[in-house]
Amino acid sequence: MKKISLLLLFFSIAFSLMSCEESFSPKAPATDGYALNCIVKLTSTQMRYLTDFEVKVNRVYDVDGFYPQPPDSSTFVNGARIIFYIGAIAYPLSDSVTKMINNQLRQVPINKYVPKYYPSLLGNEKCRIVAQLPNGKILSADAQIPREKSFEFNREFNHGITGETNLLLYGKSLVITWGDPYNSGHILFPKFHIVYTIDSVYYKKEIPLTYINHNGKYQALLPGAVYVPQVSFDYAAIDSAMSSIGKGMTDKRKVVIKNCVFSVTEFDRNLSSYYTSTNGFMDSFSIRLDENIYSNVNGGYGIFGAAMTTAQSYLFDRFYVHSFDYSMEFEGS
Amino acid sequence: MHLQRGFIFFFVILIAIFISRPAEAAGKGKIRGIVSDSTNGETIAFANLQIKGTNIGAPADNRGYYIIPSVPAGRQILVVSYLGYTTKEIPVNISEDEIKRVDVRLSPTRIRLQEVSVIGEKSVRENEIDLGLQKIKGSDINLIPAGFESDIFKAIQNTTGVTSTGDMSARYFVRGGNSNQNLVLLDGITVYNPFHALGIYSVVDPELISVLEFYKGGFGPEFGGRLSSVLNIVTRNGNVNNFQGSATAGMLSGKASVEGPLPGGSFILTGRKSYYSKVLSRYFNGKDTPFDFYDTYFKANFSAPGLLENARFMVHGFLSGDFINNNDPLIEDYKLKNDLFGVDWYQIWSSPLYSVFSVSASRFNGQVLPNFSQSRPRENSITDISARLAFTYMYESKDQFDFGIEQKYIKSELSVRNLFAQKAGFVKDAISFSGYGKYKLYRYDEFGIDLGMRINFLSLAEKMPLLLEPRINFTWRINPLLAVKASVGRFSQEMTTLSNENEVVSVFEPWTILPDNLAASDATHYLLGLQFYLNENLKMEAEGYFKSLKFLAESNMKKYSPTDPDYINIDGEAYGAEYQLSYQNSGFFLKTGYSLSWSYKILNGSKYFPRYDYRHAVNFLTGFDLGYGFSFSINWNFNTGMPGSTIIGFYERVAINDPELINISKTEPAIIWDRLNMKRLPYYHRLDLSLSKQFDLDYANVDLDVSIINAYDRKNLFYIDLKSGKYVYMLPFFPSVSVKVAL
Repeated sequence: MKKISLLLLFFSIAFSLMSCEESFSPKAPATDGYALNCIVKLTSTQMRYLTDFEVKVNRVYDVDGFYPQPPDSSTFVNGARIIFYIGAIAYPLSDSVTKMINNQLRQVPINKYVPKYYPSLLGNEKCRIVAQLPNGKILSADAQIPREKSFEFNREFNHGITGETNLLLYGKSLVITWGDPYNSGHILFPKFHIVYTIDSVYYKKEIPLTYINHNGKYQALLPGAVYVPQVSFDYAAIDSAMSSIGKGMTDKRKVVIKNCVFSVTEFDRNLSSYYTSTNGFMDSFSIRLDENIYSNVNGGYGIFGAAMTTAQSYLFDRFYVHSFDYSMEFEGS
Repeated sequence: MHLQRGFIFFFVILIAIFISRPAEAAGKGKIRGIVSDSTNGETIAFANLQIKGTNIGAPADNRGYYIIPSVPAGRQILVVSYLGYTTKEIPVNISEDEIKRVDVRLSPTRIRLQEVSVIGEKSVRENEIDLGLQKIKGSDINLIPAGFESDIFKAIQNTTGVTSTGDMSARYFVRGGNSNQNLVLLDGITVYNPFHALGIYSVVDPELISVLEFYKGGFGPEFGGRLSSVLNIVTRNGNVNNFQGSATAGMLSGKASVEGPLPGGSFILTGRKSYYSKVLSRYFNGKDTPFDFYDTYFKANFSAPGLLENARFMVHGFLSGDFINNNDPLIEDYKLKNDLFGVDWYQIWSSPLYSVFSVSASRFNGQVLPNFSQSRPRENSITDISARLAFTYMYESKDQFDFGIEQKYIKSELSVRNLFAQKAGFVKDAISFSGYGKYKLYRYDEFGIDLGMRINFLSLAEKMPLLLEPRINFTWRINPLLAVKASVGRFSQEMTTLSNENEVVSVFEPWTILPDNLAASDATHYLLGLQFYLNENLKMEAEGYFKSLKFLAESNMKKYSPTDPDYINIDGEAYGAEYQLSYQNSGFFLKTGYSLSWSYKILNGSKYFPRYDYRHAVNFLTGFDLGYGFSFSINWNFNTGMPGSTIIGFYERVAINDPELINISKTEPAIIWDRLNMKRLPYYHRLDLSLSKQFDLDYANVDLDVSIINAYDRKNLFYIDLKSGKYVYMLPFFPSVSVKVAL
C-alpha cells in the first residue's frame, strides 16, 4: 500500500510539473530599420501639381508584447535629405510639422517631409524618391503614375432592344467602361455619386451596384476593387439611391439634383500590391500565422506608390429626376 | 541524369546475374490458397505458412492469398500461424508439378491483446523486403486511446518518422514530405480528401479495415503519383458465416454496420454520422464549428465457380460528405464530398499466376459558399477514372515477378473568385498511362532484392515527370537475428493541393493537376535499415533516410498581383534516423520509437524549415490485458518544437481605408518578421490513457471504452493569435466514452 501511495504521489508530482506551460515569446531582439512612406495622388480635376505631396520616414520600433501597437514616442526621422525625381527634374523636400487632431480631439504634431515647391507631373510619368538619412543610410523607390481615363456610359436592357425612351425606367443597368487598356496588376476603385443640394447645402449620395436580399432586408452592395475596366449599376439601385435622398421630406422639390459623378481611382502596380497584401481576406475558419506586407522601398520598409483618380459627370434625364419630385439644376438637359 | 543512367546500368547487371542461375524444379509442386478467420470468414493478411521441418514457406499477402513454391512432392504438413490465432497444421499430399489449392481457416485465440500492435510476428520469409513498411491491423487502431474518435491517421502518427502540426489535424507528414505527397488508397482507389471535420480525423471508419499497409518511403513501382508515402487501406469483406450487426456511440458521431453471407460470398455495409461538434469550437479561431459529416461504405464479394473457376469479384463503394453550415449569412459555408466506386476481379490462374483487374472511379468535390462574408466562392472537383491490371507470377525458384499497367483519366476543375470578384478557373484533364515491373529475387534464403521500374508513358502534367522511375530494395539477413536492408528509388508527382503552409488551419485544400508553368515534382529516396530480432517477441529496427526533393509546388508567398503565379517550383531535402523497439507477448505489448530528422526547403536561394520539421520525436504505446475483459493502454508522444517565425520589430504602415482619401499620416502598426520559421515553439508532449471493458452477453458483445486525452493537461502551444495576443493551445485534458454493441 505504501508503495502504491508513493507511486501515486510520484506520478501526481510528475504530471503537475509536465502540465506546466513553458514561457514562449515569438519575439526576437528588435532590429534596426527604417520605413519610407509616400503616395503620389493625382486627380483629373487638379492635374499636374501635387499640392498635398508628402513623405514620411520613420524608425522601426519595439513595444512590450507582440501585439502590434503604435509606438510610445515619435519614430519620425528628422534631418533626412529627400529628393523626389520626375524624370531628371529633382524636387528636394524638407521636414515640417503640422498639427492634426487625433482620436482624443487633441492637436498632436505630425512630422512629415514636404516639397519646397509643388512638383508637377502627368499620367504615365515615372518618378523616383531617394532619402538619405542622417546616419548615411539610403532608402529609394520607383513608381509610375497611372494614366487618366475616359469613360463610356452604356445601357443594358432586360429584353433586347426596347422602343422606350426612358432608359432609366426600362433598362436593366448602366454599364460604365473605360477605354484604357487592361493594365496588368493595377487595382481600380470605381465610385458613383449623386451630387445634390438641399437649401443650397451640398450633399453626396453613393450609388450601390445592386441590393442584396439579406434575411428579408435589402442590403446595398457598394462597388469594391476591380481589375477589369468595367462596372455595372442596376437601375433599381439607382432608383433606390435617388428615392432615399428625399425620404421623409414633405417638399421634395427642395432637393436639387446637380449631377452624378463617376470616378475611378487607379493604383499603380506598387500600390496595388501593397493594398492586396494588407487588405486580403481569409476564410473564417482559416488561420494564417504571418503576413507578407509588400514593400518596394530599397533598403527598408514602407511603400512608394501612385494613385490617379479620374472623375466625370453624368447627367440624369430630367423626366427621371422629376419622377421623384426632385428639381434639377439644368432643367433643359 | 547520371543517377538515371546509374540505375539502368545497375539493373542490367543484376538481371544478368539472376537469370544466369537455373531454377531447380524437379520433384516439386506448389501450394496456394486463401487464409481466413474461421469465425467470420474474413481473410487474414500476412499470415505465415511453412512446410513443417523445412525452411520452405511464404507469407500471405494483404488479401490473405499465398503461394508456396518448391514444395517437395509427397505428404507434407503445412503449418499456418498468425498472431492472435491458434496455429494450425494441415497435412497435404502434393505431387510433382502439381499446384494444390489449400484454403486455411484459423481460429482466433481468446486473449484480446495478443492481437495488438503492428503485425510484428517474424515473417516466415527471412529475406522479406519491407524497409519503410508498417503493417497495422484494423483492430489495433481501436486500442490507441481514441479521444474524439479512434482514427487510422492517429495510428499512423504513432509511427516514427510521421509528424503532425497539431492535435486537431489528422494531416500527417512523412519523413519531411508535405501532407499532399501522401497517397491514400481505399481498396486501391485514390481518396483525395481523406479527412473529416476540418481535417480532424479520417473519413475511413477503423472498424471497416482489415489491414493498413503504410509505406514511409521506398515503396514499390506498383504505386505512383506521390513523392512521400503510401497508405494502402484494405477493407474487410464481411462475415461469410452469419449475419452480424453493430452500433457504436462516440463523442462526436454514431455509427452502425451490418454484414453477412451472400451466395458465394459476403457483404458489409457501414455508415457513420456526426451529431455533436460544439466540443471543438475553441480550436477554430474561437468560432463555433457547426460541421456535419457522414460516410458510408459498402462492399460485396462473390465467386461463381460455375462461371469462372478460382475467380472472385468485388464491388465496393464509398461516399463521404462534410458540411459546415453556418446560420450566419456573414460566414461562409463549406461542402466537401468524396464518391468512390470500384469493381475488382481477382483471378488465380492454372499456372502460378495471380491477377487483379480493377476499374474504379473517384470523385472529389469541394465548395466554399461565401454567402455575404468576405470569403470568395470557390469550387474544386477531381474526377479520377482508373483501370489497373496487375499480375503476380511465382517462379519455382521462389522468385516472384509482379507486373502490370495502370491508366488514369483525371480531370481537375478549380473555380475561384479572386479578391476583386473576378472569376478565375483552371480546368485540366489528361490521361496518364504507366506500366511497372518488379522482379523479387527470393531464391536465396538470406538475401532478397526487389528490382522495380515504373515507366510513365503518358503524363498528366504539361511538363512531364520522370519517364523512368527505378526502385530497388534489398535485404540481407546476416544471421537469424540481424538483417540489413536498403532501398533507393525515384518518384514523381503531377498533382498538388493548393494550400498555404502557413495556414495552421486550412479548410479548403483543392487538388489540381499541376499548372502548365510548373514542372512535375520528383524525389529520390535513399534508405538504409537494420533489423534485430532479439527473440521471437522483441524486435528492434533502425532506419536512416535521405530524400532529395525537386520542383515541389509551393504557394507563392509574394503573389500580389493576378498576373503573379499562384505556385512556384522550389527544391528541398529531408534526412534523418529512426529507431523503433517493439515487444509483444500474451497480454502485453509495447511499441516505442525515436526519430531524429531534418527537413528544409530552398526558396530564392535560402533555406527554411517547413512547419512540420521536428528535430526530435518520441512515441510510446503500450497495452496490458488486465483480465476479466479489461484492457488498458497508454500512449505518450513527445516532439521538440515545430518552427515558427519571430517578430523583430514594428513599423508604421500606411492605412488605406478609402482609396480616394489616402493620407500617409494615417498609419497602423505592422509587424516585421524575421526569416521564415527560424524559431522553435516549445516542446510538445501528451499522455493519453484508455481503459476498455468487454462484456460478452448472451445476445450481444458490448465494448465500453473510456479514454482520457492529455491526462496531465499539458498546454501545448498551437499558435499565437496576433490579433488578440492570445495563446491558443492544443487539446486540453479531455475524457471521452464510447460504447459499441455487436449483435
